[in-house]
Amino acid sequence: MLSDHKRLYIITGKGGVGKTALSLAFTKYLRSQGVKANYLNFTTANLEKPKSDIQEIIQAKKMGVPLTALNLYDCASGYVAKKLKSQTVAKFVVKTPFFKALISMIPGFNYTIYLGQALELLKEDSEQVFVLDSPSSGHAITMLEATKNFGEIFQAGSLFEDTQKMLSHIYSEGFTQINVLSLPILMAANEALELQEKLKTIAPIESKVICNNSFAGLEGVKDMELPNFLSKKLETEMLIKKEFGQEIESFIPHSLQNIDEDIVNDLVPYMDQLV
Amino acid sequence: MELKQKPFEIFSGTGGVGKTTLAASRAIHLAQQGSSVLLITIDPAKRLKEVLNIKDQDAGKIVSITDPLGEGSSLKLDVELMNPEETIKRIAHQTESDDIVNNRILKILARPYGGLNEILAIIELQMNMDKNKYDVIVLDTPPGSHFLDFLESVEKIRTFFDQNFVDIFNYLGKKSSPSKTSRSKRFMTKVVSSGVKKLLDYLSKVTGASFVEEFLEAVYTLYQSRNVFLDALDLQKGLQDENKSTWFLVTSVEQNKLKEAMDLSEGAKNLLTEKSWVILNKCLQAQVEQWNPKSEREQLVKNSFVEREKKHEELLSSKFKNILRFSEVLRPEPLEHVRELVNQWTDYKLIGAKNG
Repeated sequence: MLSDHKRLYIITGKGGVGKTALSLAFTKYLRSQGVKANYLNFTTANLEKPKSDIQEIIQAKKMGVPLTALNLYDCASGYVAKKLKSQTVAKFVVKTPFFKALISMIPGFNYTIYLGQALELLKEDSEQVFVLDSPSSGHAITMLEATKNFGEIFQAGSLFEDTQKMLSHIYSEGFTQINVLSLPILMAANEALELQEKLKTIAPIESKVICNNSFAGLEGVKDMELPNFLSKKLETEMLIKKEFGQEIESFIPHSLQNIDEDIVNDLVPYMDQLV
Repeated sequence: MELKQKPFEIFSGTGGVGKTTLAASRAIHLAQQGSSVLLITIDPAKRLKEVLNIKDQDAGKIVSITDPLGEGSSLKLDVELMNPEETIKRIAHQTESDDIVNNRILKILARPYGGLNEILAIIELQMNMDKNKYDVIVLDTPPGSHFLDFLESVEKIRTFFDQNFVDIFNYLGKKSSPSKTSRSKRFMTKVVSSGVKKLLDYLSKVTGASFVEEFLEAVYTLYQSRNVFLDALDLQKGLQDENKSTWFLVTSVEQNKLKEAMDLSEGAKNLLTEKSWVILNKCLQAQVEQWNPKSEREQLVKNSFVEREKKHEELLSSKFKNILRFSEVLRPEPLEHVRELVNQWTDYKLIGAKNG
């Protein structure tokens, strides 16, 4: 049973690095170690679509990965209901065109609402751990900055206090870890490290940079006589290890599988590096 | 068969497929053909700057680049890394009012990661189009579902300025009072029996009264600039006109990209018609075919690559008529990468083309 772990893991990185596959694999791994981990994805809680239609949810269910699906309006009306002490009023407020426009024009508002609800759930159940498959690069920054911005926007009053509480919770020691994913390509590695630096200036949260899709890690690759395109890939990886060896902690091997479920299962044994 | 240039060329797709470098190489290729080109990126991660060596302090401005490939040519290209704050300044300039620049809430939201990126991008595009300075504007969009935010932001603008708010705006518009705070206060007392007043009362209990006042100010400020926002709605029509724009949906042969591309095409159904071009990037077919595996393990790895690429082609051909294939470029340096892609644009291979 793994006891030294965080409560909230945020998996981020530029688009296409494999966040979803890795998040699902990581959730599976944590569960295998006796940790009550759930896969969480904010983009799945789409305003218009009912929960059951979201692709990632179908995928996670198919793979038997425990997940938590949050609906934006439920989260928002839950919060407003607490403040106004009425569920009826809350439901009215969040359905108004004004509120809807507010949410859709200011994306950061969404994330603040989701994060708030996720933290509530973590408070209610001290065993619960979330693996958050977060939005790509720039938008992951939006997510954390939004919470900070809303403190600045509201300045005083209960909403402000609540956002402050949220932040101090997220920043509390041992609570959160941000895993920034990269690929073994120069541009990707640079970007991941840039993202990590930027995140450090926004939030005092522990973070790791992890390289996905490593070919050097593929079994037997060192013994093979490789064609040009593969040996070039290895060369680039060696370059990255040399230049960024200090900052990039782990390399997760590329999976030879082509079906999502199989890829995720291939990744599970390496997920201890994300803890 | 010519891949004709259109006034708008939009590169969409999920992240990590090479969209940014493809957009940049397309822009350079078009400039090589003699067109005046503007390349815009609205991707908050600002990857383009790495590719073309543009600095952060240039964000929000149009930068003229000469000889982007370092070939000693006189080739010119304009590039802009979008910066929401700069766009707001331009809106202020157009509406001859400083209010929008000075509003505290709008300022915060307009910060590069403040979340107004997509909406301001539409306006940025519209403003550049209005200049009539360029033959082609090539747009590199934010990856994945955030690109859908871009498409949806036009609707959001429409919703925000819809009939439900017209009462508020008309009322505020008729006010000729000099003081800013009294405007909002007067509004609050005058709008006696409307759902909106109720809503604002509730809102002030949750957020605090001072926020509500500032928020009303922000709304009023946006209203003053509404023409700029509403003009941008015309843009959507242009984007749906096949004579005015070409959409490139970029995907790559890497593992999880195909599913994402299919999801994206589902989500953007209205804009990505059958006449859109799909680019299958990072193809390895040529290189893989030349590989003669010497062990079972090597054969396994080779098969994995072959199978993957075949699967991609089959699935794409079932959904799209026009597919462009681009080969994987093995140059680590971004600029070299771009150069090779420019060559591929000049000399592209079409697979499964069924119409002209």
